[in-house]
Amino acid sequence: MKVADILLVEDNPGDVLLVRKGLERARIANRLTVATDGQQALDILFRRGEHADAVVPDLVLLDLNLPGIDGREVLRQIKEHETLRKVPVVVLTSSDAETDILRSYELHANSFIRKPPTLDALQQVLQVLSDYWFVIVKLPEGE
Amino acid sequence: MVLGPAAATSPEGRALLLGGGLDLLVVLGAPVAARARVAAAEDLVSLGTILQEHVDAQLDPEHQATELERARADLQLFAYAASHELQEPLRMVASYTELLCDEFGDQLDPQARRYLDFAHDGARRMQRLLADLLTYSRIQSRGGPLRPVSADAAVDGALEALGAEVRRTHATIARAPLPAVLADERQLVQLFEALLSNAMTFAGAAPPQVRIDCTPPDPAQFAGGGVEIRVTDGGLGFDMRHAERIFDVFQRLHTRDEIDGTGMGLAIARRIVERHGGRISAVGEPGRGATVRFTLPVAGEGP
Repeated sequence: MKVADILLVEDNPGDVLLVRKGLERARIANRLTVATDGQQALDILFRRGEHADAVVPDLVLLDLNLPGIDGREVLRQIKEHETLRKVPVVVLTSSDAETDILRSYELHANSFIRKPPTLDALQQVLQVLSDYWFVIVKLPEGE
Repeated sequence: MVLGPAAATSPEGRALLLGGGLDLLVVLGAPVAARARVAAAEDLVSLGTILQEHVDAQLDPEHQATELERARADLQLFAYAASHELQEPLRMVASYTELLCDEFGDQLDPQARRYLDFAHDGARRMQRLLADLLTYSRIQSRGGPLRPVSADAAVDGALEALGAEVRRTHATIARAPLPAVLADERQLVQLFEALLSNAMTFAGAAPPQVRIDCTPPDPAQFAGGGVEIRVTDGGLGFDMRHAERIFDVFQRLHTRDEIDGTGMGLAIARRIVERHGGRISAVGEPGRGATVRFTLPVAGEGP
């Protein structure tokens, strides 16, 4: 299994560290890129400016509530883009409000996951995500 | 109307003033005393008017509708805050106390470890409580229409969700066949989850032995009417003096050391049963277990 390129879009440093820890503990081989706001996420994905050499991620973990450009807008732009739309985007957010879930799927999120309450639970979720997206599921080659 | 000075402040006078039937009040008497009485009478008239307006407003359907809308909006805001805003700081506390323990636990004094465990436990309990509160608050607002649903399938769903707890406690669940009932399927699963979790939580020292059955037991008698479903456990039981109280929110009959529940399970169960038009009650005996029984309408034909 190759090393997965994961883009984590998350403004809370506490949550960023938890995802790193979770991936580490689940022994998921990965290169994690972190965007702390929506604008940065889009710059990375669209390879603008300093991110001209950015790699298209194999998976995007996207928080919805971000400062400035929020996660829903990032999601919309990814899924409206003719090449980026094939990248699986998993919404990983605090809310489980029906409106947020509905809106995410309307914007073509691949999955909606509510952030688990403990690190242990997060680790299990990341393990399942990794098994699903990187082992079981076939993703298109190249970009 | 003209009143003498004494009459203006008499009970009859006050009643007249508050009744709002007076257009003019003339008080006879010594100027100073009269002015004081007039002032007092005017106060009473204002009070009467204010009271009348208040009463009218309360009874006005439009006013009530606005107030209701406002209350509903407040509640929705609170529910959203509980589900989103409050979870985030809690997740930080629960996760990082866990990390602290995992990564630095062996460098910590046993007393420090103890403090950390208390902190972590507290955070986890609050997370579970918030989750239960949310479930409770959504029973009405997120309830779906009642349809024919297999109660057996709902029990299956509940047991699947409680799999870890069943394994951990080595619980045995004995089941009699249940009929199809008119219910919101998701809530029926929640109902069984709450009751089964309760039975396993209050098992006491021995592995929980839970039985699910119903009256009438004969499938041929199911058609039409209602069914009483019973969840029985052979656990700690309770004193019948508390039989009503146990369904109230946050009620706990045992210390936190004995029982790790949130105090919401039975409240959730009652809310769901009542939403389905049924009734719920419990019988128990200290040390001899308890039975929670509830009624639901039976589905006419199969689903």
